[in-house]
Amino acid sequence: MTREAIILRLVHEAIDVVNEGLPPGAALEKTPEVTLFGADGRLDSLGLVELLAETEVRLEEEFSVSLSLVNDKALSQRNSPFRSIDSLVTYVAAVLATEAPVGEAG
Amino acid sequence: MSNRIILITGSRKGIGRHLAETFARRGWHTYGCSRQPSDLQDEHYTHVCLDVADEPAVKRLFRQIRTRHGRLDALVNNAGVASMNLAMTTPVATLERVLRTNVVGTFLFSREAVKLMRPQQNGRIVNFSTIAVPLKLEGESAYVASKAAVEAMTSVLAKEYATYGVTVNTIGPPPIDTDLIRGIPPENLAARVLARLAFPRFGEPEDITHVLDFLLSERAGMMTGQTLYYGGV
Repeated sequence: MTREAIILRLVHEAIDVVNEGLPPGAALEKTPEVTLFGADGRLDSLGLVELLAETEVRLEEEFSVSLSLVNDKALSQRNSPFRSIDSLVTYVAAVLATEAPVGEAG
Repeated sequence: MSNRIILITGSRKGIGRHLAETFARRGWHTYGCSRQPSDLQDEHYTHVCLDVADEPAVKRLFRQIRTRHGRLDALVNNAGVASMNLAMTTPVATLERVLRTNVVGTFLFSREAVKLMRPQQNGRIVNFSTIAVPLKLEGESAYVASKAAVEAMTSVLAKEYATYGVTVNTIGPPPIDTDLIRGIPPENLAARVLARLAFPRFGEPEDITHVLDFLLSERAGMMTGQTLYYGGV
């Protein structure tokens, strides 16, 4: 499985968690083109925060890294990395490429 | 034997040490941290050496708790440093050091804690301020500014985290006999601080535990965004 495929699986898991909190009929489809955030986005800011927090947790577990997906650079990009599942996966792969694995505390 | 998980920052000495001993003795899975190692020996206590403002180290600690327990019930942001110095002679480096531990540390731990508390839709975060804030104590501008920031942050986090059933409160202790105030001449404490309280006396660590017990209890589920001062300030 490629790294992108693993990231996609983790993002899908995070979406499952977010969907649990959404009203019936409002669940996010796990399709690459679904608009997550921004104009016509399906998530409000709180929903996006939840999705990113759930994604971060899974990435840290899977890849043994410590990372933050939200930073000033991500928020200021002309094309938001959070607009779709596709763009999110691409963005996460880029962030991961700059992170070194970490050991366990204690 | 409790299955509850508590994390207490600055747990090597002072109030943090007292709280770590108390909760470990009660059987809570108690995690503590400080820059230096702790000599607290208890089967329920785990100590991690870190700087509370060191983001990667803090995230590793939370990852450890997540891996072992998958949850966190309570966070006590006790770690704090003070600086007793008139503003005119306080170096910027001192201000930055105080803000880093007291404000950045509290922010960072709270942010990571709520991620662990959110799935259970329940959690308690308790921050530490001081009566020096309402007293607007001369000679403590850096410390008071940092704790005022903690109080303001508490109010905002309380609103953000209510969605997840997590309460955030701050307690503002009176002087307690710990290293934090040991450098202050007793006559200064008596005249400048204690004399301005309705109960002009030192606090005891147990005073902190009692209020903490309430804030951590189920009964305090509607109590959030508040700062509770001691002594009748």
